[in-house]
Amino acid sequence: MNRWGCAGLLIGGVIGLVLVGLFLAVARSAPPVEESWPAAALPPDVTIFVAEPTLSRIASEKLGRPARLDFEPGGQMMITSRVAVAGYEPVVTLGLSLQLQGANVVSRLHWVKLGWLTIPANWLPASARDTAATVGESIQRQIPPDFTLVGLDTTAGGLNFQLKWIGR
Amino acid sequence: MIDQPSTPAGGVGCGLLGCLGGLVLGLTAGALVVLASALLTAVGGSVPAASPPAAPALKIFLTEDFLNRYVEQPPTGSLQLDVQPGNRVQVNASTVADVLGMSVPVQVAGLFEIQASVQTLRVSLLDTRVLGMDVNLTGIFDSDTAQINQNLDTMMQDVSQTLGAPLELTGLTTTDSTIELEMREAR
Repeated sequence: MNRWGCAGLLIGGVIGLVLVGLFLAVARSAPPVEESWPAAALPPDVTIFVAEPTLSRIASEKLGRPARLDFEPGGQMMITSRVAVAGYEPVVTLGLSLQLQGANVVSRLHWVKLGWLTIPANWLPASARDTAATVGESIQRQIPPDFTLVGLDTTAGGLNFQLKWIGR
Repeated sequence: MIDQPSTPAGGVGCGLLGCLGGLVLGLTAGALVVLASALLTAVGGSVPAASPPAAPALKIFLTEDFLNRYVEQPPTGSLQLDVQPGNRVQVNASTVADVLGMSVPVQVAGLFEIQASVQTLRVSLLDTRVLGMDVNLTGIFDSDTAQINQNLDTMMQDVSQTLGAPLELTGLTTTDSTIELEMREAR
């Protein structure tokens, strides 16, 4: 390779690494999750607040491995647990949003944090996003059959369910 | 090996080709390093333990309106609950009393106190009054009280079962329209 080629390789390599560095600067911080959070359509009969540690314990029991759930106002939910990937079990954090659509809880994946790297959800395969949708379904299944969900709200400490009784 | 003198056009072409190759190499190597280091960090990391609850594990707010719809109405007459501050609930019942062989409609008001024990809630009768009549109706709410206490036990068991852990009541507050219960997981 002549000296022009070597110089080009060097410059290209540097540009490539700079681009990766720029990506990392963006990828280190989790993108904000913004969801509209409608007020309860009907006044609730019963409001139940469940704290993060209790929800984390329930999630750990369901998953069969340690898991931690964190909530932020505005429907943000983070699940941290180990996930089997290619023979390894890295600690992965899923950044989700929860939203009530009608009486159904809809969960959407926004990002995945692997170690220090935050990967946007649209870079991931559809199966990963579909798996995240089951979180909303799992929350939905906790609602007693005599009640319907009319409001759902996240706070820094946990999850608020607003229920309407439909028993009789 | 002897270097062949290159033309300026050929040099620029080689430079561009080298630049492209370098870019691909730099991006690929950078991406691999990033992924490998992120994966290594993640594999070596641990799931942070859930912080011990500063707030109660569970809070339940029940509205008076809901309780009035939830409570089963007697076959004759009606029953109305009035939640009051100070952990009290007044039960206003319209019923029919047998007085000298005649059925007389009466309004009975029973004042109940709700108390939180560690495992469950207990309701006890404080006072019974019959509006407009001087009739001793002591014991009229005895069966209702026993039934309510049984229902409260069942409710606590259901909540514990749903959450998968035994619960302890840590707080009970009433306003003029709501009952608020606070619970934590039993250790």
